[in-house]
Amino acid sequence: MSATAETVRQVEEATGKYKYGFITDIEVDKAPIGLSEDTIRFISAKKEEPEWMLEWRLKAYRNWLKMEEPDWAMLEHPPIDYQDIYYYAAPKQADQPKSLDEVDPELLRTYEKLGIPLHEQEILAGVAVDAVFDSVSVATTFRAKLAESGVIFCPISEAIKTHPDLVQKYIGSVVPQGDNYFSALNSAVFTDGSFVYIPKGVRCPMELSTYFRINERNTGQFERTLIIAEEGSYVSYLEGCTAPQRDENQLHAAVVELIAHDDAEIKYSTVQNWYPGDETGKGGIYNFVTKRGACRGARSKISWTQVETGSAITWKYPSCILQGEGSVGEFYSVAVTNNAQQADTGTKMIHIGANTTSTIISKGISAGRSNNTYRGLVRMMPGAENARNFTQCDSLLVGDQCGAHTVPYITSKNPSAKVEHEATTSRISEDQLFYCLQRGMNTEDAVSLIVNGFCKEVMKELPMEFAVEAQKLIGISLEGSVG
Amino acid sequence: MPHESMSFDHLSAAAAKRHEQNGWPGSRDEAWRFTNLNEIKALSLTPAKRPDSHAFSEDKNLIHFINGVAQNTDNISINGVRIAPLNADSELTTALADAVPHPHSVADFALAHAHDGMAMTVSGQVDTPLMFRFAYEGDGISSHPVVVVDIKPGSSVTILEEHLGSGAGLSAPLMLYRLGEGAHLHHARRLVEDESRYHLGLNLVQLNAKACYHGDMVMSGGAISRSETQVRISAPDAEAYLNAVYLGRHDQMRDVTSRIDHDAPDGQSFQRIHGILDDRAKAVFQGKVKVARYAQKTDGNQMSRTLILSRQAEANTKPELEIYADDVTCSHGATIGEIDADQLFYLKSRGISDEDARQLLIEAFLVDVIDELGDPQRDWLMAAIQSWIKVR
Amino acid sequence: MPLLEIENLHASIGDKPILKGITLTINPTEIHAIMGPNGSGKSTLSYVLAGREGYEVTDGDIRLDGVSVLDMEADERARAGLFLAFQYPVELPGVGGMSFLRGAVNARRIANGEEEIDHIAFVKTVREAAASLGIKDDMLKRAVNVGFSGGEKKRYEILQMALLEPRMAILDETDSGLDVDALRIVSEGVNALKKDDMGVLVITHYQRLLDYIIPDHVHILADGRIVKSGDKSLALEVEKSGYGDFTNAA
Repeated sequence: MSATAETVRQVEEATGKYKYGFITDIEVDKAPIGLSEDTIRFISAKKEEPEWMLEWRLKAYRNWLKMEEPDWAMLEHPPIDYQDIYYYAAPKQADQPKSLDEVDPELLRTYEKLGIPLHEQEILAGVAVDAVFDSVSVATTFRAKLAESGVIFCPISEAIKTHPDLVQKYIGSVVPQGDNYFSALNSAVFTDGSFVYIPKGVRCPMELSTYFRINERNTGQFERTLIIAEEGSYVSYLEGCTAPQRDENQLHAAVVELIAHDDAEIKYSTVQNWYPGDETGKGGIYNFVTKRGACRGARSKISWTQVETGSAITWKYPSCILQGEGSVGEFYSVAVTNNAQQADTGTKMIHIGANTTSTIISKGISAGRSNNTYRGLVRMMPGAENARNFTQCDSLLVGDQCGAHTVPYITSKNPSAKVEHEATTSRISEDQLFYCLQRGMNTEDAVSLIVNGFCKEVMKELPMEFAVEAQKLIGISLEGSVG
Repeated sequence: MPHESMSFDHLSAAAAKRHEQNGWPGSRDEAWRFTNLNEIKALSLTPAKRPDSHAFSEDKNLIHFINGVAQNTDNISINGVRIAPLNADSELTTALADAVPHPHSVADFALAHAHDGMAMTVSGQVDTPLMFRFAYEGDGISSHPVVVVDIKPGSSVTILEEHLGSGAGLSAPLMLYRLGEGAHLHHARRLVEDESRYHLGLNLVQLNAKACYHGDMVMSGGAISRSETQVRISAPDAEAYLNAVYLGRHDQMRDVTSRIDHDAPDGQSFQRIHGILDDRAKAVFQGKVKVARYAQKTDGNQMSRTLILSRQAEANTKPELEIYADDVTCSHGATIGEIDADQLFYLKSRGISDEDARQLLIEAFLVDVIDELGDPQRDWLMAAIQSWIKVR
Repeated sequence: MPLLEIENLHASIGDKPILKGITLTINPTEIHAIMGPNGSGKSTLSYVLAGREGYEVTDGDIRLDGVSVLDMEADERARAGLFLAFQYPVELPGVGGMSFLRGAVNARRIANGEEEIDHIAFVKTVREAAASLGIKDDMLKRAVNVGFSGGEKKRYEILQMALLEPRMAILDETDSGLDVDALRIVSEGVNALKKDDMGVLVITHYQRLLDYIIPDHVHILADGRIVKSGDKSLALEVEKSGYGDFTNAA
């Protein structure tokens, strides 16, 4: 029972509400509001980018102008005014800090308050952190130590300058600019994000982690992450996200691209806790994210694990393109929605190569007046000889004002491929609840406990450091959902 | 919004207008993303004329429809069954107007071109199974039978519905089965048109309290065949069973679409869909179960299985749950694959040849869906399955 | 002439060798038992003998009545008289028990140039054979193995053996999942069938089945090889001291 007691205690500790809703008061450098070619030139100049990068951005922008916002998801929101957003906001500081000592102490305090101390000696052993604040990376820890094994872990804005060959080779190769409306927007205006390169045969000596923070009002965050795992390498990468509590909606449109070569493995974990808006649905982040991994090499593996508790709107489908023979794709997801939150999330598994396998485990929990949709696609292409997919997709309803939806698309063009899909929708059983209450727990604790049990298959995929935080978050997210 | 009393001509004119505006859907229409209608659009269709001659049948329980028009309705004399032209039954015409989703390309097309429909009322326990035989013919001819069957409270009936015929034309039947409180309908369908024909059908079912609909279908005919069934459970304690077998070969397209709206509490729906695809055949099963907020204690269950026998065939499945009530048990399952290697080995290890073993497993896979049916539906449907298998 | 000859049999799954040179001769009327720890290759041996796909014979031969079966498919071997009672009989939803049994029996008869069996006579034969194995009529009406308990599945395997009258029967872990009563019924079934010149190969992890089906020869399989052969006292020895001594020897 100790883990349970821990959860219960942590849920009690949290005073309810959104814990990360504070604002850091810091001087910032901003682009003029709105989006035009000038905005893009401004961003590119601020980042001191080479010409090819600017051209690439402008091409994406011109493409985006011709595109339409997608409307197929089960999401409703007022139209987004793309001219009423700041596309660049950065804390003012003289130069790029060379070490943590040069980072604005106010920023360091912000991350401390978020539970992410950046001082290396204070950090949980074995986790290197890239801290992205609005549009820039403010600090990346343990870089020297990682460099010893040849691992590159740095802000992508820096990689564009220091490793242009790698960036040019891989950026947009998994998520093409024009893949969708938001990826085109991101390609035009992305500001920062992480770049990771694991050389051949290297097992990354520590967990890599990026912590995203939106601080400025009316600012969109458009981060871009690129992870390349060379032959036989391994990396585990974690990302966390928070934002202040504001009445306006803020836009977050990220692109993440993963490339795994022969025998390489990338494990990508997310705990998404953007501000979800208040009980009435006011404010909150619009989270439109394109995440995709390419298993290019034979026997490569990409594993996505996500715990989605935040954001007013979540639109996100971390996917795998299983090209290499015998490559493996995994998607483990917990999505919790409460109050007026809306989530439309899932995955795509595209089986191209022979003997490819994929596993999808999705757990959706809806409470309050929220709507939570699993949307997934499994496609067996003609060359996917003996490929396998297994999908398990469970939804739990907490209260009678919410919605839980399941929309899987399955296509097979190869008879030897095998697809199995199962989905269930139910509510917390009265028996389970009563059992817990009879043992002296209050309803909220009991719900948190049962929901965490429901999610266990996914939670066990998270790295230890994140699992505790994620478990706590689920409890907090569901507060006030049962009367 | 329920319609005021409405005439069939009025309904038809409104539908014609909608169809003129909307035309046939393209692949960007979510409900039609897997079924490409280009071949049908290229047909330049002429609506079937009202036939001059009447076909007669000795059978007292068989209604013959030629190119969509009922022929021998005067001949039918079964206690509890009353038949009239739809134009003469404003109540059922209005019921149809209320039931038809719009715009809906198939319903609009059928209503726009139908000269009239058939209204049938069933009261009491009708023990003799009724048969509707829809025979279509003619290249470039479209046929649009419109039938409304009203099963009065507490009544029960078995209806066998068969669609057959030839010629590169389009069959677009629109059916409405309305079940009163406690009514029962056993509804078996065979879609066995020739390979030259196209079939786009809409089958609407409305269930009042404690009503029970049992729908079983075998779809093995047509170049492109789509059968869409929409069931609305509008009062408590109703049950719907939808079982379907679809069989495709050559370059055929099979589309089984279902939607079940649970709009009342304590309803149950069970769906089992098994499909087999050979050669270059393509198919989709898309089924949506929607449970409204007040439809508590709903039990919704759906299982779809597809066997692919050839390297060029393509199977698509989209089982969908949209749920707004919390005290429900809903589930779906889907599998796509080839014949199970373990089962095949087991049979072969008993001395059964590879070919026979495959045949046996295919038959078992299909029979599984209709096995629990009573006669005459079981044998009648089984015959359609077996004649498809035999050609393999 | 020997009934079943296994000669220097090597077999692999993919690239992995599992059987590494097994030689064994079974004469008519003989009962042989193969015992071995988990992973020694027992089930692989039964599948290779029955001709399951995915197992590659890399060396050696298997002869039934002097004829190599290596080029025969699983169904041809079965019709030649080789019967495998599965450790885990697979469920065949929708395949009716009676039509399955009749199909199997007729396949054999046709191959032997005999007439197909008469329906009514066959139903009677099945009922009688089933009754002697404690199989209820109700079970015969269900789809093959669907909803059967572990014990029911094993009895059903023996029923098929009775109806197919094989030359050579392989019982793969037939005792697993059986209580004592079921074990007795199944064993009696096997012993009753043994009246003619059938050969039996019992594959088992435990000795207890051999209390009921008494073997003429016992072989210990370890790491894909027969490491020791003896009479039934060898089984008792294993029971007492385990497989440790033998696996070390391998």
